[in-house]
Formats: sequence, C-alpha cells, structure tokens
Amino acid sequence: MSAANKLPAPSLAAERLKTFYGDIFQEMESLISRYQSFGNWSVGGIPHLDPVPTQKELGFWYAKGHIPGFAEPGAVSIALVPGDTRLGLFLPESAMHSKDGSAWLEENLAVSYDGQRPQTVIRDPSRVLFDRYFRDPPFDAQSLSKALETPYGADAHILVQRLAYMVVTLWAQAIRILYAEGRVRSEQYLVQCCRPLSADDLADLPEGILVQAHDIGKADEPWFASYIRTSATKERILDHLRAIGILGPMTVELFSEMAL
Amino acid sequence: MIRSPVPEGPDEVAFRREPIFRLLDGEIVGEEWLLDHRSPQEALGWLPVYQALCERVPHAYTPPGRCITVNATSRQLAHRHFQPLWWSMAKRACERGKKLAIEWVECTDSPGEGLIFLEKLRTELGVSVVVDDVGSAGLDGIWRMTSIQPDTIKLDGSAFQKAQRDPWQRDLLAGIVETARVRGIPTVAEWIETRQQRDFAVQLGAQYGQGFWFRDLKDQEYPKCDF
Repeated sequence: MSAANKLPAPSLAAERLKTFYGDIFQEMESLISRYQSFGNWSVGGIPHLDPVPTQKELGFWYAKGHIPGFAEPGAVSIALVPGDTRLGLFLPESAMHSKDGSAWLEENLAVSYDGQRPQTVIRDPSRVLFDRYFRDPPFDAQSLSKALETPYGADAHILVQRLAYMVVTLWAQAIRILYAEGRVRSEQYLVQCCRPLSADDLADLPEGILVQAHDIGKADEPWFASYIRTSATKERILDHLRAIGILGPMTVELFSEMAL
Repeated sequence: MIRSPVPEGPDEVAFRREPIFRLLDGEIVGEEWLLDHRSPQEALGWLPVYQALCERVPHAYTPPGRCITVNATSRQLAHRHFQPLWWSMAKRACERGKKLAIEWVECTDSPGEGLIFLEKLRTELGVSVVVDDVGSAGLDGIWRMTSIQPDTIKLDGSAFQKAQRDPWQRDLLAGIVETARVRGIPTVAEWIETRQQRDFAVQLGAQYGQGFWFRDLKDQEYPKCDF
C-alpha cells in the first residue's frame, strides 16, 4: 500500500466521520424543520421530532416526539452505516392496540412507510421498534464514500434529501394512522397569562378547546389561568398565542396529575 | 341529603351534598360536597372533579350563612396545576359572599407547599380550614391538627364508632374535643347513624355532626337531646 492510499489514523478517521455525519444530520434537521413549518406540522397536528445527542461519529441520529395521549414518546432513529443503513420507528406499545383489540392497527403501522413490512420488529414492555434496512444507493458503501469525499457536493445533498424525506414520511404516516384510529388524543394544558383565553383564541390549534378560564389575579395585577385541550405541543401553543398578540409573561404547561 | 341530578353538567361529574348539623337543635350549618358520580372516561384523574367544583360551588344555592366544604389532600393543595382552581374557587366564593371551607384530609405524604398554600387561601380569601379525620388510626391527623390553627376539627368516623365501645378511644377523642374547645375550635363528629350516636357525640363535647341519621331526618322533626 502506497503512502497516498494509506488509511487515515483511527482518531483522524473518527474525527472525519464525525464531521461528515454531523454536517449531514445538521442539514437533514434543517430540512425537517422546514417540513415541520407548514400544514399539520406547523400547528402541532404532527408532533415535532426533537433530536437528542447521539454518537454522531458512528452515524447515529435519534429524535423523540411526544404523541398526545401517550406517556411514552415515539422516536425515529437512523444508523447511517455504509451499505447497511437503518431507519427505525419507535412507537409506544400501547399505541399498537386498536379499539376492538385486533392486530390490524399494528399491521397498518408496520407497513405505513411504503406498504412493505419492516425487516425487523423488536418489542419491549413499553415500546415497539420497526426497523428498516437500506442498502441501495445512496446508502451503499460506494455512494457514501463519494459523499464523504465531497462533503458539500451533489452526493451529499442527495443523501440529505433522502434522509429527511424518509424521516418525515416514516413519522407522519404513522401518526396519521394513529389519528385515523382516534388514538392521538388532545391533552389538557394550563396556560397562565395576562388575559383569559377565549374559544376563538384556540380555533386554529388542532382540536383546540377552551375548558375553563379563571381570574386568579389581583386588582392591580391581572393574571389568568386557562385550562385548554388540544393535540398541539406546548411549543406550538406558545408560538400560536404569541402570534395572536398575547404579550407579557406567559407559561404553558402540560397538565399532569403527578406534577408538584 | 341534598342530591344533585345525576349526571350533572356536560362533564358528567356529580356531587352529593351532605349536611352538617348543629347537634343540639338540628340546624343545618354547612354542607360537605362529596364526589357522587363521574363518567368512566373522567375516572382517571381529579382535574375534572375540581374543575366541576370550581364551576358549581361559587354559584350554588345555599341559605345565607351556610358553609360549603370541599376536600383536599396536602398533595392536591401543593399541586401547581391545581392551585389556580383552588384560588379561583375561593376568590369567586368570596366575591359572592359565600363561606367556603377546605377540609384538609389525610394523605400518605404531606408536602409543606400545600400547607403554605392553604394558609394563604385563608389569609387572603377568607377560606376556613377544617382538619378532617382527626383521632383515627390513620396517617397524620394529629400532625395536621397541630400544623395549622384549624377553624374546625372533624373527628374521624371510624374512631367515633370505636369510641362507643372502647373507653381508651373515647377518652382520646374527648381529650381532642376538649383541647379544641379551650382554643375556641368547634368539633364535628362524623358517621352519626342513630339517635344514640348523636347523644354520644354531644356527651363527647362535639358541637356539630354529620352522617346518615341526619339524611333520614330530612323531613322529620329533630329530636331533642336527652340531657
């Protein structure tokens, strides 16, 4: 082996991969964010995916999403391994059961990505993983190698596009099936701000309903607590209320019987 | 017993209103709102119950001077998501000239924040504090009684029943009643089911009572005490 063809030292290789994967995932997250800014995503109808720290140098990416009505979060994972890339969908085990107790809901969720069953299904007491393998371009070793050689080139761009599309499709399709079965339920939030919320304030939130509004302030310090129901996330509610002109201090909390 | 229609309201949460009587003459001085019914989909949590109380208590028809009491554990009083409901209920009751009392019931744990919040409700909004289930073999009756200066003490129903056949339990309850009396704190005896039990409660020194016997007397003349 000539000097030019020598493999980089292990630490150098790891650093290079970490940078490469970091860039790919960053671009992918940026694209996903754009997907999440319109339609059902923008009002929280499709729960947001929030990336969590992972070992980027190994090509791992993981993002969690709170599905209204379920304590256990859902998640999407990627293992970007040359020639054997995997895409995982984690759903709460309790989401697998249809109202009539039959298995059709799990079957529909399993094939929700593209009509095909995933290669692997792994379950534990609280959640189920549907794992899919991708070995064809752009996930074969050669394509990934080319993308690695030119980090901002066309191959890398195609890879980013493809990953973002896969993540969004996998997640949104599964959530839509849960919606159709009535498994994604609205949840109750406590909003505290300088004025009571009205039903009109919530009309543009998915399943937005005002339950009760209470005046809990003093004469010179107006402060109101509004209990609302919606399937939007906390962040979406906050953004929406700011957008309709509610100013000043405001808190939005997912109601929990256990919170102290 | 004053029973609300079942189910009541859109949330299908209903309460029964159990009267609290003055033992000597049978005058109704208060009513405890107790959960009577809730639909199965609401059975998983307390939020709909307290939201329903919050809507109904301040607007309930009650004769002038009659107090409405509702139950709360320390944990529920300390819960930051429930506190706006307590505050709103007390504020609206205060604005409408209604007397509201919170019965502080026993709980496996008693966060201090609940106690601080209860004192704030009393100081700022005039809520009365009733310490419930005192004298029982339960968890924290004496602790709760001495943690806050109560406006009223309720003797535990099972302890009251036992005191009728157990001199040790009787003397313990009589001691609690006397300790409260010296401090000007009235006492309510719960689970009064017969006239004899009413008389026993009077002998203990309790001023007020509550229980099925009163419910069954609703349309009858209140019998005089035997002494």
